[in-house]
Amino acid sequence: MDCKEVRRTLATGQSSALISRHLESCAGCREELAALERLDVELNLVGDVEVRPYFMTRLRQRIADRAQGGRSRWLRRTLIPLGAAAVCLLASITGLRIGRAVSARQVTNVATQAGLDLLDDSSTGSMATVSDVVFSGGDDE
Amino acid sequence: MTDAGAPDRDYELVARTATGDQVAFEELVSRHERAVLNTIHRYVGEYDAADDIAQEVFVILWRKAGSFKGNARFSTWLYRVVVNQCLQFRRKRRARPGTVSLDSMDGDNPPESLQVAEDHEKRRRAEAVRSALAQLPDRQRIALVLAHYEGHTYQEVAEMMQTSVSSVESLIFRAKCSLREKLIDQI
Repeated sequence: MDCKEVRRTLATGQSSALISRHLESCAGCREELAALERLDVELNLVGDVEVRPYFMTRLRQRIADRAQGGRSRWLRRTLIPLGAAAVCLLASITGLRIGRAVSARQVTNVATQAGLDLLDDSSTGSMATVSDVVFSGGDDE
Repeated sequence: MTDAGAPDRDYELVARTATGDQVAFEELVSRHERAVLNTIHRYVGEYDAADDIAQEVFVILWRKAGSFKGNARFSTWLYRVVVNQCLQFRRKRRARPGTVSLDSMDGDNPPESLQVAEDHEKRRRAEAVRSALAQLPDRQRIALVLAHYEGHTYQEVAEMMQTSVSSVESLIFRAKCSLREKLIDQI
């Protein structure tokens, strides 16, 4: 084994009979091993920290919040599109009704101006009948 | 360090946790919380962040306990979550410039009463080590923390980091070379 290989192996904390033999005859690698041991001592100066008080209580709360958040997210994901769809549908229906009412009123106005007596029946007749009369100019009479 | 002597107990507890057994979950947490917190703290260098990440790790354990199939040791599975959360934290920090740097490891230490009593000189040297650790690239640092501080074998570290044993050896070799250069004045 050459020094490079030995030093790489030493750094990973491994050892073998081959390495021990090499170390007996190589002062450079012995110094390398000593330096690595000193490094380990220094690394161990970084001590442990303690778990913060009420770790478990806070964990329980976090899990509960997350579950609550999950439900809220589910509700938001489900209810918002449903609500939006309902509003759109309602708006469409309302718009359609208003449109029909407006067009019926316009037809009535035009018919009145044209002096068509058939309009007397408009309250009982369908708008289609009235429109037919208006657009045909009341020639049927 | 993780209680490696009783993996059977872990298997039992995680199986019960997967069924929603809160008592089993809390025992599992109490068996691993200290080791998990210290691993994360040595990696991120900030006590508040480490506490937060540790909590997140156990939330994941609660939610995903069912995905542990028992093919590996429970601690390997748990530390894989730890590694992922640590690396994710690091990525988020990088993506948000202006937040406190991870490298300022002395900025957020645990309360004095929680730290091991150290004399002034020891504390100075420990601070130099923390600072040197903080400057290591992410994967070198996490490999060193798991192997050196938590005492996991290279095989276990490789499984936790989802890499090969030779990669772990290489990461640790480079980490130690780098640390020796940075700590040249004190070793």
